[in-house]
Amino acid sequence: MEELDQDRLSSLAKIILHCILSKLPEKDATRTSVLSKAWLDTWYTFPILSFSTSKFMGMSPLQPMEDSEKMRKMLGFCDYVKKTILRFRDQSLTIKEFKLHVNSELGHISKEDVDIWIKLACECGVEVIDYSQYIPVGRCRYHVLPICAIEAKSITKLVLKGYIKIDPTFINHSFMFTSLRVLSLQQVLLGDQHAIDQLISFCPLIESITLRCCFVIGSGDGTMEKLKSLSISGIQKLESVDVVGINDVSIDAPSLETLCYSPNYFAAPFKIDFDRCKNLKELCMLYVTTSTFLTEQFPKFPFLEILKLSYCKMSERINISSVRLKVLELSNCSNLKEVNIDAPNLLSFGYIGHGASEPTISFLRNSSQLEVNIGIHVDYVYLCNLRKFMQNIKPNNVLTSLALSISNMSNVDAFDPVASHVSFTPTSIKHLTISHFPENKYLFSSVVKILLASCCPETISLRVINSGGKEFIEFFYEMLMRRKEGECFCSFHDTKCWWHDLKDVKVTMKMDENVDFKTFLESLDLAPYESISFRLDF
Amino acid sequence: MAQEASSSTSSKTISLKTGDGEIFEIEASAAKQMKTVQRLIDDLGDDITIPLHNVFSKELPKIIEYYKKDITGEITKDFEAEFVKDLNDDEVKVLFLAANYLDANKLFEFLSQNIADRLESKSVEYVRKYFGVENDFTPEEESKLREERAWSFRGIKEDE
Repeated sequence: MEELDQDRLSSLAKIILHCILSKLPEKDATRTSVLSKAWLDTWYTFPILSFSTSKFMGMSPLQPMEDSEKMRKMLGFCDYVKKTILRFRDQSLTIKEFKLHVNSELGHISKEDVDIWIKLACECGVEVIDYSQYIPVGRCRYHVLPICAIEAKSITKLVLKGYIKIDPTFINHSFMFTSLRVLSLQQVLLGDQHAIDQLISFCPLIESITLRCCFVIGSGDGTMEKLKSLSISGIQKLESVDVVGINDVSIDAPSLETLCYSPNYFAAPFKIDFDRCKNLKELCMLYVTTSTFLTEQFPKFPFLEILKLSYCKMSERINISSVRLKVLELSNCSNLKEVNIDAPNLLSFGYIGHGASEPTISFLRNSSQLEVNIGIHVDYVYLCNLRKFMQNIKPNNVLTSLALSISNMSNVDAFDPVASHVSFTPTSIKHLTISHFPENKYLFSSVVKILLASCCPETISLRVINSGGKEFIEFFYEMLMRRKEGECFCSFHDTKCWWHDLKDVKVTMKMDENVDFKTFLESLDLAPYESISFRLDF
Repeated sequence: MAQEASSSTSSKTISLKTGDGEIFEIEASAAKQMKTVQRLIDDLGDDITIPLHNVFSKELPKIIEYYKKDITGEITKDFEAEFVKDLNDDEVKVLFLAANYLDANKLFEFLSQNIADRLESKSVEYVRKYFGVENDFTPEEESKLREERAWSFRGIKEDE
C-alpha cells in the first residue's frame, strides 16, 4: 500500500504537482527540477516563469567577473529566456506568470529581445507580468513597454519597476481593460499629468493600485517631471491604494479598505482627499506633517481598524479615540510629548522612537489583550532617560516587549556615573531585545545597570553584530549570574531590589552542561544578526 | 421513492462506502463540496450508497471532519493548524491524494500548501525521500543541473 502511494504521488498529473510548486518559495520550486527526470519535465512545464539576471549570472562580490565573461553570460541568459518561452509557445503551454528582473549593471540586454519575450508571453495567455529594471543613475533611456502587456485579455496583474515607459498613445483606445486587477508602477514614465487618471479609468474592475515615484513628460518642453496629481473615482471594486510621491491625491472609492500614502518628501506640501472612502479599514501615512489629521479626518472613518503613522509630524499632544481600532503604530514621529489613547479594543500598539526625548503614553481604556511593543534607537548619552520613559507608559502592565539599539555616536569614552535609585519596581515585560550595543567596554557596566533598572524581562535576546559583540554578551551574562549567586549590583541595600528574586538564568540554545559560558560563546559560530537568548526564572 | 432512515429530518445525509468496505455518512451539503461525490450522486441518485474505490476508512473520517466545519463556515487558521498538527508526512500525502480523487478543492488547496510548508528549505535528498522518487540522473547530468541552478541551493536546512 505504501509503495503504491509513493508512485501515485509522483505520477500525479503535472497540474497537481504544479499546484504544490506554486506554493513553494522560488528557490525550493527550482530545486525540484533536480529530483529526477520526471520532475525536471514537470519543472519545464511549470507555468510560473521567473528570470533574473543577477541570479542567473551568479555574481558574488568575492569573485568579480571579467567583462568578457559578463557578456558571455548575459548572452547565455537571453538565450535561455528565449528558448524557454519559445518552448512554451511551440508546445501550446500556458504561461501563468512571467517575471523578468534585469540588472543593467551586469550587461546589456537589447530592448527588442525583451519586447519579443513579453509578446510571446502574452501569446501564451500570461496572467501576471512582473518586469523590473535596475539601471544605474545616469543612464536615462526608458524602455517602452509593448502595448500587449496591458491590452492582452489574460492579464490580471501588471508590476513594473524602473525606467519603463507606458506609451500614452494607446490610452486613447476606446475599449476597456476589464481583466486587470492589480497595477503596480514604480519609477515608471507615463504620458502626461493626466495619463494615469485616464489609464485607471480604463480599468473598471481594478482592485489594487500602487504608484511610487512615477514621472510624466512635462507639457512644456517635453522634459521629465514628477507626477503631481492623482484622481480616482468610479472604480467599484477598488480595495487598496498605495501612493508615494504624489502631492495632490483625490480618491472617491467607497469600497476602499487599505490606503497607504506618502508625499514627495518630508514636510512637502500635500493635499489628500479620501473622505468619501468611508469603509476604510487600514491607513498608513509616512512623512506627513499635519496638525489636523487626528482631530478632523480620523473621526470620519468609523471602520478604521489599523492606523500606522511613520515619520509624521503632528501636534505635541495627540488624542486617539476609537472603538474599532485594533492596531496602532507610531514610529519616528518627532516632537510628540503626550499620547493619549482611548481604544478599548486595541490589540496591539507599536512605538518606535529615538530615545532623546520620549512622550508619555497613556491608555485611558484598554483590553486585557493589549500588547505594547516598544523599539528605541538610542544614543548612549540618552540611555538614562529609558527608565523614566518606561514608567511613563500607563498602565504599566500592558508593556510586552522592548527592543533597543544603543549607539555611541558621541563617542563617549569614559563611564558616566548614573543615578541608580531603584526606588520603584521596574516594568515587567516578556522580551528584551538588544540589537546593537556600544563597543566601548567601559560603557558596558552602566548600560547593563540602566537596562536592568528599567525593566524586568522574562527573556533577553542579544544580537551578535560583530566579533566585539560577544564581549558584551559575556559581560551581561556574568552580571546576571553574579546576581543569581547573591551578589547584586543594586546600590541601595536597604531597598528591596527585585533582582534579588532571580533564581536562574538559562541559555536557550543547546549548551553542554560541563562547558562554561565563555567557552561556549567563543566556540559559537553565529551568522551575522543571529542572537543568543537567555530565559530568566524568578 | 425509498426513504432514507436518517435521524435528522432537516438535512439529508449521503452514505459513502470506502474501498475497504466501511460506510460513513455525510451531510448532502458537505457532499456537494466534493465534486466527484456529487457527480456520482447525480448519476446514481442520493439514496444509494456511493462507492469510493480509492478512498479508505483511514482517511475518510478526517475529510468528513474538515467539510463538517466547512459547511458551518467555521474553518479558521487555528482549526487548519490543529487539523494538520499531528499528521505525519505520509498521512498528509494520503489525504492529499484523496482530496484530489474526490475533487474537493478547498481541502486540496489547503493540503498542497501544507505539503509545500513541510518541504520548504529542505534538501533535494529529503524531498526525493518524501515523494519516493528515484534519482535517474547520471552524476554528470545532476551536477550540471545543480550548477545551472546554483543560486537556488543556498540556505538549505540540514536534514534531521
